[in-house]
Amino acid sequence: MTEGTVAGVDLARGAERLERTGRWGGIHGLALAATAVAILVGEPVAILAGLAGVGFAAYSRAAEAPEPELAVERHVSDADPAPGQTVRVTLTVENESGTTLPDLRFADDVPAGLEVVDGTARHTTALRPGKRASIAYEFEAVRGRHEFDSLTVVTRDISGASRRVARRATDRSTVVCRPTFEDRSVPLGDLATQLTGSQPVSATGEGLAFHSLREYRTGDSLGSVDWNRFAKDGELATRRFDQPRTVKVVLLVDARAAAYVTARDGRPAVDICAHAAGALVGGLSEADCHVGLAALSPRECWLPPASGRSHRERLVDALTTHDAFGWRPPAESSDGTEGDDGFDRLLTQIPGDAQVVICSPFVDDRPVEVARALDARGHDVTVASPDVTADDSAYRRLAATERRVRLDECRRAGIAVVEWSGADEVAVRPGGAVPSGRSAPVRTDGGDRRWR
Amino acid sequence: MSRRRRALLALGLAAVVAGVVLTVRPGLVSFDWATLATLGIWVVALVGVAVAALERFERDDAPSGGLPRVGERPEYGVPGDDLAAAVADAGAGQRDAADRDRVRQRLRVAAVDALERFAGDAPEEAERRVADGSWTDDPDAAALFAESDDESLHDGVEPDFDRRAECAAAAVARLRARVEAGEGAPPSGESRGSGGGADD
Repeated sequence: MTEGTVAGVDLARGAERLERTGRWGGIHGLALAATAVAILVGEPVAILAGLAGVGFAAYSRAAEAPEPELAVERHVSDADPAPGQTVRVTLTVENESGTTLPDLRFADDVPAGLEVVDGTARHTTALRPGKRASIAYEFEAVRGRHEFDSLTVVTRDISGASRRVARRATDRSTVVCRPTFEDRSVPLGDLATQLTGSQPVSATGEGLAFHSLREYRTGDSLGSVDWNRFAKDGELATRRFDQPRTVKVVLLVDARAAAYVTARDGRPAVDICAHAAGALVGGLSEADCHVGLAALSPRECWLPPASGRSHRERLVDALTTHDAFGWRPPAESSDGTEGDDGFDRLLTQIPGDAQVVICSPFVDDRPVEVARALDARGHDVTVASPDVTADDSAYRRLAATERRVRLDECRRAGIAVVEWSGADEVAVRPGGAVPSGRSAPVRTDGGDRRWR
Repeated sequence: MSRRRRALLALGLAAVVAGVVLTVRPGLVSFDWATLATLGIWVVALVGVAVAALERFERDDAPSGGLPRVGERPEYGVPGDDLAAAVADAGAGQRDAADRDRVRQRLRVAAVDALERFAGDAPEEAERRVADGSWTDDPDAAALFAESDDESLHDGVEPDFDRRAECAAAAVARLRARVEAGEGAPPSGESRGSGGGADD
């Protein structure tokens, strides 16, 4: 979950720029005006004073912020913290420039999503050659792979007329916070593969549980004939049995910029959806489903459905560390729009016999379009939607109403909808379509409100 | 035109007027050179200080000295705030008519959808009710979509647009709230009384 730039500084790692601060803007005019007035009144001392101003203006124009050479050491107390755990970072900077840095400011580039809860990640000082300056701060761990690999440094010349802003590359320190996903599931449809499995879908054939009788057809095995019925009525009938099948499920997580919204604790809906998908990975894998993962996002993420322990770990790892589910929204394209969300590509990747579970806050119309398009292509679609709307202003209540209308539109189209609010338990709303599953509801907080 | 540019324009015009007047009537103001020089120095100094202070206040990075904000989670929006910002950005004048129409269209779609969903109206009926204003008991909300003979609208000026938009948003939300509270939505042709407006 690395980020290209840091909020507030549009510099890539390793880049720098020199800028004028404008601190002495106006000094030229003031000096010249003072000199002119002094000439007018004929006072030599005043003329000298004015010339001093001119000299200072010239210096401010010529001065340039020093280019610092710094040695940076960073120590992170825990590289594998649990969600919510506090991690301490100590950063030491040493001046190796050989000259004094009269105005040195630096800030550790704390990865997006991490909040400093104690101390400060920035410092301002003057630093003589060979001297060191240190800062220490603590942040609260949240889901994701967080890379500390740069430091923003600002130096100024002694007059403050110019400053040099740089993102210095540092040794990389990685913190990976892996939440514990509980096993949960959602109602699934009847779409299944031809492979025998354990999902009780509506297919019939070889099996143990009796399903129904139908008229005998040439070719039916003698073992499947209901001889009791033949003895009673003289009619040949074939017994049919439930045939559990293997079900493929693709978890489609809405990770577009539009899904980076929040209403409560500052967690974006994308994070909530990633947690829900993580719970579904466990629950569906335990039910012997083949599970895949996709992101509806300009940042491509696609893991085709499969089974097995290693595949399950790959899914969880992707939900934890993949850029698509990071804490910063995808960048907008040059025309100000969000750009391609990758759905056309996903349509070619999602197997035709796979069911799709869409995890989305449904705060715009795009998820409805996606759900209906998938439904129209024959996939069984289930919607899992956290409610991240608020009700403390007219426009926010309107957004909540629009979301309700969108979810109801899905229900009317025969799409099962599971929704929940905040850390509450998921409930299948009355009137929801075809809740054929027999599964436990999803909890977004991991069952004990530990999810971050 | 920004406030700063307007102030500079006013200053320039005043200087031009003063120059013309003093050219035409040189004896209009009796000059005391010493006083004038002192005043001039003070004026230049004060203007310089004011400009410098203004620049400091207007610069985003002034408190941080060029450092980024770090250790803070990105500020995610709350659903609905984008529309609130669009309404706030849309001015009342003719130049912003297109922006207002975009907001109006979104609210119109929301109102029609809500009537279909929560009042059980057919699409055509919902469209009609929104157009004639009978969909809500709030006159301000109804006025946002209703055809009007208001002269100001003909000029492309809507001084009450932001208030009407907020009332319309609140009225759409009330359609849902009433249904979920078991009160039911206002029926077609409901008489329009004094409005509730945005209730926050």
